Amino acid sequence: MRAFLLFLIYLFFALNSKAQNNILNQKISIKLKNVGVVEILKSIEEKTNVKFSYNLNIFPNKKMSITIKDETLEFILAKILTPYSLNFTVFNQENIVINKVENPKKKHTISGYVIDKESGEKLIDAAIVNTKTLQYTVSNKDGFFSISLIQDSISLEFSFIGYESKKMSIYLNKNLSLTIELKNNFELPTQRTIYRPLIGIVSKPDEFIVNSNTIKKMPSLFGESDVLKSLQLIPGVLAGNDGSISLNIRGSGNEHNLYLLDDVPLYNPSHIYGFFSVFNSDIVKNVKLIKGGMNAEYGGRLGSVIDVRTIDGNKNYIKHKVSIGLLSSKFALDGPLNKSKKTTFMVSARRTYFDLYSKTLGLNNFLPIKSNFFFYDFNIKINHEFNKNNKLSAFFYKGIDNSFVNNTFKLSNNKNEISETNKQNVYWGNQLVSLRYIHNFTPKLSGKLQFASTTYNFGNDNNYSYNESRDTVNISTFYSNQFLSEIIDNMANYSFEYKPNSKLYFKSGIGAIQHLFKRTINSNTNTTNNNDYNENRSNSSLEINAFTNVLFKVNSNLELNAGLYFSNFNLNSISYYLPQPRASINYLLNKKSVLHAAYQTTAQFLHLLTNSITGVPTDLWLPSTIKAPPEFANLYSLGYQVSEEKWGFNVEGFYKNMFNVLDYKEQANYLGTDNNWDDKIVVGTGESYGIEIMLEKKSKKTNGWISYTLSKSERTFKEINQGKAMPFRFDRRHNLVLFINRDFSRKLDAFLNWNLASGSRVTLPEQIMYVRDANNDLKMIYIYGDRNKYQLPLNHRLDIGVNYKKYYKRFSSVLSIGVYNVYNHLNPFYVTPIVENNGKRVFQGVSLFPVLPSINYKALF
Amino acid sequence: MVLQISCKKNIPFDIEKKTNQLIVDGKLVNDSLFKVQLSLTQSITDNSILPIVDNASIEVFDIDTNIVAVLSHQSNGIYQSLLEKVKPNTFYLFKISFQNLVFWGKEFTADSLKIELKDTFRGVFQGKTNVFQIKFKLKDNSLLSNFYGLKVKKIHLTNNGTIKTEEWCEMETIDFILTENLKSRYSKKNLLFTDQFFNNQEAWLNIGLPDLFSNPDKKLTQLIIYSSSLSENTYQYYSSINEHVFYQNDPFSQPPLIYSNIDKSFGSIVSEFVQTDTIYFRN
Repeated sequence: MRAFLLFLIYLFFALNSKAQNNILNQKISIKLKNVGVVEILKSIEEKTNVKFSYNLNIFPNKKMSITIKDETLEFILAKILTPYSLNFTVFNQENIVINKVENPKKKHTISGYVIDKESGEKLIDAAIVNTKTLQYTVSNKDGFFSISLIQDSISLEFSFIGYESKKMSIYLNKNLSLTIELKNNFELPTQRTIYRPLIGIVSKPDEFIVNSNTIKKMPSLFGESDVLKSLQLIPGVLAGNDGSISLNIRGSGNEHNLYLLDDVPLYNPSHIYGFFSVFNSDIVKNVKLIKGGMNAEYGGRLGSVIDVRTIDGNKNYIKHKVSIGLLSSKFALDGPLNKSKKTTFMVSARRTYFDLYSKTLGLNNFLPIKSNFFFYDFNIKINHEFNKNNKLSAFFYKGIDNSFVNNTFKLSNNKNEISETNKQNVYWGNQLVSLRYIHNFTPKLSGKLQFASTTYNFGNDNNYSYNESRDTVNISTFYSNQFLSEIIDNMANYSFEYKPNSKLYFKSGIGAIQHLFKRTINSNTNTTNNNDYNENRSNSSLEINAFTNVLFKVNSNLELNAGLYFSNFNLNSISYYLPQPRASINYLLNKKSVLHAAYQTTAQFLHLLTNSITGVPTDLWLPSTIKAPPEFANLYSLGYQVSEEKWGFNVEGFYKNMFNVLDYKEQANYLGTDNNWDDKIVVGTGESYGIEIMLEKKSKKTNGWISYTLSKSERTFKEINQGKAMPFRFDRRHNLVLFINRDFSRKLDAFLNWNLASGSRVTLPEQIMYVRDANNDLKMIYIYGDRNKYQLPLNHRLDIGVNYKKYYKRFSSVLSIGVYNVYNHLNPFYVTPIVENNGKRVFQGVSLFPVLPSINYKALF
Repeated sequence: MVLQISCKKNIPFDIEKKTNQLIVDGKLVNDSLFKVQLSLTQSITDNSILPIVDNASIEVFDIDTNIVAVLSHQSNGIYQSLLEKVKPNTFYLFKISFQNLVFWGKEFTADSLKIELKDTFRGVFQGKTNVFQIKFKLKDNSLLSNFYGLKVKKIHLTNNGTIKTEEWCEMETIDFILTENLKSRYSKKNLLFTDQFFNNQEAWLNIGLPDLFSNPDKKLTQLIIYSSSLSENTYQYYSSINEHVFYQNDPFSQPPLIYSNIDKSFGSIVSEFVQTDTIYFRN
């Protein structure tokens, strides 16, 4: 009988939900001082057609002041009634009954997943809000959510960036397990896919989410949409050199960013000397950039977090994506492996083919250097859901960049043969493998166990051979030299999430990482004696970490987040212990605006040495030593964000100080080896501060934003520039981004992106001198000024592009045409002093990317 | 492909004008007069002739601070002793006075030749036939480090026999320890190395001179082989010049500082013990 009554109540609420929405969505403004709840209700009645029914005894004898401007009735009622455990129900579209919530302490938990309707893919960071009380939660990295609410009629809204929201009204009287399907909508404004939605949710101005829809609408180089290039449009993110994907965020370098691919760190996120990222946009589900105020779950790097999640695989059918571009082609395949749809897979591969068609078409003959290049990468993922509470996931990634020279000479006749072969091969890449097991103990408690290994290697092989075979002469000589440097991280970690109620959220974990540093050199020849050289060196260190993070929602306006990431690093007899506290406060000023303040300490035990501003191919990751202790930083930020229906505004200031950051000694060079590397570097401090502003326009057809960053970033080393502070290499004082996206129709959209930034810093020779070398020849020598003293000219560039989509029953295609650097502004990639023919010495800037058209065709079926 | 389409343009920088600094360029050759050239640095945007220094004074002292020589200005910034000559295996202290400033430099001259030319021949070298090769022996196995220099000059006559040209040869060695060494890898026209590479042991070196006979328009008449023992200052100085010049062509590297044994100035006073061997080629 009780169940039947509850069903009737549920049915009643469900049927009335649409009507409720109409009456509750009307917007009003109220300004009253020192009044009771009844006076407020009467004021509402005067301003609307609504009539309230209530028993006067249920109201507390308390006075309050209220100022609300242009808010929905639902929001206002939730704000004034919820603190007194009062509930409201709509009857006949104009009557609202207010009553006391029965047994207010009885709570039930709603848990489950928010998934993509078409693919069944679980959505990360989807928002789940009880619009009556403004209590909310978001789905975690595995798509799981859980929220505990008081037994009552509730109105849940499920929303996710780039998806149509869904509302549901029910009477909650027991624990519920839900799987909510949301429909992907490509026509939703792009900026909403950048900002975390503010639908009654505390949002952080220094946290940005980019999903696959967004990436597809972003500018591209050579027609290849890129995850990391998309992030360069966000305020506070400063690009490296023109065309590169490096992210210099709030004074930290690219080497300070934590790049995570499905929770596993990647050491080098780039292909082709830093112009493309290793993340294949066709399989990326979600990218989260955390510039500051990070949770304690993240550690190991000094700067920001770029958390990339790949798709799990379509649950409903096998989906194919094939893309053909000027530079590369790629395919992705994902779908269910069995009829039960419990097992899904994803496979993707990508390869450049300039080396193939240059060979076929003989283009190599026109190049000054007889060299070639390619990269490839592939991803494989398999997921198996034993049931709703147990999931196993295996992931594998491998990417290789290869630059090679292969010269062969052969001369032969019937009796004689002479052959000469010269092969040089430079290669680098990442390899990643992980196994994850997720278990939901209860709707409130879930745990994750992960084993993973990530490897970055850089190698250089040289092989030379000469063979001569004649009647009386038989000569065979060879020379080979192999160099291989590797860092291998083997890791295991366990973390759990616990949500005892809707106000508290705990996340804790423990982990261990074994860092293996390997170096192999083999040099062999048969032409001289005793000069063979073989070295096989291996060194390992152990890093142990633990974290705990607590999120406490004090009330509907205030959210506190605090945590501690603790790490211990051991190498030989050296041991470092570094506690890294984190804290943030979000204060919701009203439904549309939030104040945010954050503090974080971060540390990094591994240092990157590289000789190239593009980041590869000579990256060497090395452990902390006594001379080069761990780097650590403190970041303070304060921000304000408002999100109106038609526009949004975001402003945030930050201050960061860094310790034990590295640089090369005065005029010391990277020397291609890690022998005594810490004698060649200096250790110092860094300071960075600035303000980041973003103003966005939202509409269904045209949307976009202007973002501006004003910042200053400096480094100080006792041994450089006489100990004076010097600008950081990518200290771009001003950075302005204009991005506009226009959806002309369901089939056609276009974008425009204009970026204007201060030039990066360079070190230039100020004087010259002439000296005689060992041959008694006169040589001109440069005498350099202070490091990073000079600034390159303003960097600016306009990119445009259109996407033309065609839809068929089971097939769709996208033709993308774009132009990079439309007005052909030559942004210097590097500057070098030269002597012109007339003997005049000048500085010459070399730009790698003039105006570049691109075309890309993608088929989805 | 990207490099093929890259574009270049000159960028004007407002380079800070700094005070010109003293450059000391001295080479001490045993049994020769003391000779030092002084000049000044100049702004990179200054395209005038290199400023020389003709109003300085240079005094040379021995290890007991007894004056050995006073160098007088000859011409073009060159200062020379009148009669006093450089002795091998001797410590010298230089006092250079210029514009009310005093600069000190010190050098210990090289003593004797510790590298010996053993043989020359033609044959297969690194897969190439008919390569002229020179075999050397490092003959000192004491624990003290020795520093060496090798260079070879080729002298050609054009076919009609009227024009004589001189050129430094590019040298190659298959010895990994030399080709990959950070001090000796930056110049093929003067090979600089130390017996530290060979653990201070006696060692044999095989140097090849490829492409010596490849140009039919030039007739090779002589090869002059310079074998040197260097002071450590000389080795460091010449190595740093080679490395600096090598990295001038690398836009992503900053050329290293030039080594100097003169306090608060640029350049060095160096010394070497050189032996020359000449090989004549007939038709």
